Amino acid sequence: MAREVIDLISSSPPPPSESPPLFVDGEVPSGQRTESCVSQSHGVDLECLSDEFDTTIDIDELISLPSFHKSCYANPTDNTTSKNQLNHISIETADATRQRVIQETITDIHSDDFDITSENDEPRIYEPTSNGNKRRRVSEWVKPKEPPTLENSDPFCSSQKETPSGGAQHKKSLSGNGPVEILSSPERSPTARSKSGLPLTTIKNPRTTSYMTSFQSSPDPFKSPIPQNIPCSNLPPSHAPSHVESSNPFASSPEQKRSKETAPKAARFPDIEIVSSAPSPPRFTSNIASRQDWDPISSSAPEIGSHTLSESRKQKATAEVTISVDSDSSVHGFESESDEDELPDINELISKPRKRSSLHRSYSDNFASKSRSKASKPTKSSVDRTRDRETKAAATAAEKARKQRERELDKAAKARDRERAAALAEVNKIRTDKKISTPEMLVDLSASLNPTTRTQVEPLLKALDVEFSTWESPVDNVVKWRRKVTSRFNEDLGHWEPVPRRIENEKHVAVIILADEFVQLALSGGLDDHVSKMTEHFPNHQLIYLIEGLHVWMRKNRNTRNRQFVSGVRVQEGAAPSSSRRRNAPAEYVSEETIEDALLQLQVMHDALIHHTTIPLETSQWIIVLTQHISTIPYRKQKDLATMNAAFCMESGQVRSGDNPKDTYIRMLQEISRVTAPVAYGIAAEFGTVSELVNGLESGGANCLEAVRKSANKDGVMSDRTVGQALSKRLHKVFTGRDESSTDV
Amino acid sequence: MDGDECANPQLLAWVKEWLDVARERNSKGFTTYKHAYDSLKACPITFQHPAELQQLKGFGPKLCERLTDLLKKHCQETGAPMPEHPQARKAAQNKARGTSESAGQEGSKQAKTRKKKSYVPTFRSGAYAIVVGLSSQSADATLGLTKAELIELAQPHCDASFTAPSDPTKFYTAWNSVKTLLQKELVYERGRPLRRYALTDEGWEVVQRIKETPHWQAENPQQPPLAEPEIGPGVLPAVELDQTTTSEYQNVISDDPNFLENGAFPSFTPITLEPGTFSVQLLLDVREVRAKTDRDYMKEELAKQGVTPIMRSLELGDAQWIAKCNDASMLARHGAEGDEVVLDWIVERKRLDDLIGSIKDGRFHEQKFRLKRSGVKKVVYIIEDISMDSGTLTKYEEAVQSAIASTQVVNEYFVKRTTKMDETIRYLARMTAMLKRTYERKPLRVIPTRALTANNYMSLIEHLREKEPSQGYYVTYPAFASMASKSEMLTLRDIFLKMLMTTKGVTGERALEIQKRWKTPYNFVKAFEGCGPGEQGQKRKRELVSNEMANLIGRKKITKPLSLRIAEVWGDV
Repeated sequence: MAREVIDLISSSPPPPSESPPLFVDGEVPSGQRTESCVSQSHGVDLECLSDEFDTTIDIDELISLPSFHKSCYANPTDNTTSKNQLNHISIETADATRQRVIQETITDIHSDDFDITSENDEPRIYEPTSNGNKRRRVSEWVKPKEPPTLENSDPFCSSQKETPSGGAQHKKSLSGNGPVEILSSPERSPTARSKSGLPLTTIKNPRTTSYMTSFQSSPDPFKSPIPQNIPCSNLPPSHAPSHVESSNPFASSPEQKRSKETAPKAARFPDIEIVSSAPSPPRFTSNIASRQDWDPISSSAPEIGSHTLSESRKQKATAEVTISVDSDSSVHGFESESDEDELPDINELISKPRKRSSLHRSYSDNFASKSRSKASKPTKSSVDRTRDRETKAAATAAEKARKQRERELDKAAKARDRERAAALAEVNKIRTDKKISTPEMLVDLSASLNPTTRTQVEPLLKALDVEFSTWESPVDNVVKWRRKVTSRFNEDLGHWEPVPRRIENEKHVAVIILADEFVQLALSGGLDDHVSKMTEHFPNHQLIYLIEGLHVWMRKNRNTRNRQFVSGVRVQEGAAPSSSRRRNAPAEYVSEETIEDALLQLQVMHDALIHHTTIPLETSQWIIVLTQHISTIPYRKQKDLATMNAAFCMESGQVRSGDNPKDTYIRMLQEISRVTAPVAYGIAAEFGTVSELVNGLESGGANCLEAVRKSANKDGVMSDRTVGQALSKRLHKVFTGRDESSTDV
Repeated sequence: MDGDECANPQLLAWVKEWLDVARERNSKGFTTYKHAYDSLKACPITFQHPAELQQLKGFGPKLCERLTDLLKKHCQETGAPMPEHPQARKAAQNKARGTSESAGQEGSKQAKTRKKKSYVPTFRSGAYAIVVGLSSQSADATLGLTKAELIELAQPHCDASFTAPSDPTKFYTAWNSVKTLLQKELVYERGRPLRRYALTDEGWEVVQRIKETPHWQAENPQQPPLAEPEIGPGVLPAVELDQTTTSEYQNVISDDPNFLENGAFPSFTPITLEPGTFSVQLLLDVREVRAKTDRDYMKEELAKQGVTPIMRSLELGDAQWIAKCNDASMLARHGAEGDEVVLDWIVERKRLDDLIGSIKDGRFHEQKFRLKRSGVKKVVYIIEDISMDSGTLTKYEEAVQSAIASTQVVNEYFVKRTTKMDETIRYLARMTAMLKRTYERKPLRVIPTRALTANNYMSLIEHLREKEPSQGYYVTYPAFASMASKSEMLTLRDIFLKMLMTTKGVTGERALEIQKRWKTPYNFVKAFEGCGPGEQGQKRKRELVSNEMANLIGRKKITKPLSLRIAEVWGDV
């Protein structure tokens, strides 16, 4: 789980998180998208989308965003895409005021996040409320490169076209993170709250949900076959959100869904009042309002008011809550905590909606800050923010800004801490796996290396992400290794620490020798010279001799001997000498003994490792294999050292683990010598758990298991045989013994 | 050959047909066809004639023949010319080249002379050995030799075994070549029920000529064949049998944990064995057998190679070398026991199928672990090939490769691959000779056993190696055996570690960390009980381990879910 945390925090902007629930989520929306896309007969984008969903899901980045990003990048002119997620929600909800309110909340949240995302995002964020969004979004999404056509097709927003185009410049900067987080935040708050210390997971949920909603909504105007959308739009306000829930894979039981749904709604009610001032043309107004934030000319009072209000509220809330939230999220991995645990809490939340709303904001902020630190453009956003506020309400804004700055400072410090923790976690990743450690290697191939081998090795190394170089080796055909060292093991603290990257030589060096060359060396006695040349140039290195084709050579050699023998026999017979063969002078037979002794000499006297290969391809493969394994050496060595003071091999797979607590208990018993499966099951039938067993043994004495019957099978049928005195005593010693060094067990 | 990705679409289609039929009928031939289909599909070479397919994996003569028939039919139907058989083509090419080289007459002469050439058995093959073996009888003895007698005489002249198949999955031995000899009429057999073999006149001629060759003379210097010293199965080589049980060495080494815990090494005066007072010998594990029915094969074969192994049940490894004192009481007088000193080398022999098996079930790691703990400096892994199902072999090829490479570079063990047991035996024999040469020249320094404890052994050895890398320090065999058997002895701590590791997610490193905090199972259970009852207690139990170990990072970190899993097992949550 530590891993996931690391990923989250790690510096790369879209950190892939591997939490299983997410995948489920991701898949649902992708499927839906597919449908809508298909209706447009556009398959290309879909593939990408679905791909993204299946493989890696960014927690911080919107789940839906990857696709949008793509399209955006591909075509900077269409800015709507980024918005889209928001838009659909608004569209759906348009029918019901309350839903609209929800939208607003969302927008608010967006504003909150402005600092996080670049200013360009702001306009877009507000735009979502426009009626045309839904359509546009769908179309753009499908065909990002042809925005105009798409817009035209959009019945709702002919007037809105300009807006997207105007915003287009900003497209590039498009920060998916901002909107995403915002979206998720309203939904998230309830869930997050309910969850104990697993904010991240929760966050994922809401986002996914919101996206899904959007997807569902998008087909709506076209009367696409997706049933969920229709009910949503028709539903009374209170029920409106339910469709979101339905799409949420996490809410497995209807009850949970209910509770979740209600909770967020309640939270949003305060916002509703503000927004409701212009409910009749909901989309339009809201749209304008949103635009105003960035467009000073066309400002509408109600919108602003709502904005500021919500903002300030948010801010306060965040300020209060941030710390606790932060600590929570940073300390605990979000990984495997199950949603079920958290669900019951949601019900409680419903009763106190207010608090929750603040909470959720803090969450969004929290995440925003995180994403910001990743994006590494915090200053810009903060500047934006301040300016924004000044136009609205100077006093409040100033106050806010101050708080904001404080918070940011706070956050920056925290972010630094997190970065440090992430770096630490990064270098402590398990690198005994060669796949992970291999890219650390640098392979130096001697310039004299056989070109065949070289051409084969290079692509193989590239495939493994291993750098290589050519060097003028003092001895022919030498391959040596270097490592990019980024961590150092701290013996005292028992973990790896990041160190500035440096290149270190590995202590292995391989030399490739062809069979013929080797035989020559063996015959001429030049082998010793060769070895001493190697050790002279590579002192304290482990020599690896890769001998190519010696087996074939041996076979040929044997054939030579036989040919000589046969011809020797035939000569006496009077047959024509076989020297008339078209071959040149027959090879001289070399005694196998000489070769074998040379090999042994290399092994025994010179302590070299020898490996035989048959053809250049195998040699190249072997270079790769060696590279991979050499890369794991420091980590393996360290691991061996760590487990050295246990008297048994701790490699994975040495001790079999159980599937559930009961099974684990039974396997645990079997780790005691002479405890067989029947005995273990028999004891487990008598004492169901470890603590019962310990207490039983404590009170019952050494012989209390003596009469326990062994089981005949796993179903609990007992046989006539009993555990016996000796074993009972042994178990007693194990479970009540307090001397760890006792060997009497 | 249109744009299909396969180079031989027509042939492939036929194979596919067979494959489909086999699949429909659920025939056992399905796998065969599948192999053939896959390999043909993958092959980028375009073949002219189905007979060429034999070079592919999964194609044998029969499949090629059937394909040839199909192709013939196909050619007749379409009127296309039937491609020439590759051999015929080759012959034609040869001919063409012969004439073009204006050495045409030589080429044709060659073909003729080849026909005339008499049969000569391959040097040191079964047939060769049988002929030579039979020649040890006098020419006028008409009775002939029985199979058993003949094998006894012939074996020294042959590289392959007459009695044991080259590997346990095969059934033929070098003896099978007698059929060729009978067919070529170099040997005749007669007699019922016990067949006897003798050379024909032709056979005698061949033998005479064989004996004139330098090769034969080199193999059999000077002496007349009859006088050749033979070690037959009747005369068992004198093998020292030393069936000591492990318990004998069990307590040679003290295991007092407090003995020199402070890290200071005991000062001792090494016992020095001067060259000439000892000899290097091979110890072979009694369990190293060729087959259940052929337990002594290795021992006998080694004896034939001039190395008489001491058979013993070894604590570790399958073979190792010791220096045995000529004076049995020599070591005892200086405060060590026994008369054997363990040298640096130990051998672990693995047949390829065993290797794969042990990789699969984790024994491979375990064995390397034990070898490592033994403190032996040089470990040799002999990996003996065995003919295996090619499918299985390809499946595990990567695992085997990986295992070999990691054994070499990570464990720094020497890996020797041999093709069959005979090669292993030859290697051991040669190695023994080499070690004899190496060790018997210089004095051996032996650490008195009383300076050793189970705890300081490894570090002491390391320390001495570092201090005087050129000087070897050795321990006596009893001390070594005791150490090796001790390493298998588990303390309560080890059992607790194992018990902890039965929970999924508790790795060795985490288990060690847990054990650092709660020493024994009892302490651990009591710690959970100490969390108290009720909701609060449950919560405390759930977080007991993770809270206690919150400061750890990386591999040692214990997450909440894992903590919960542990609590479920140990704390009844």
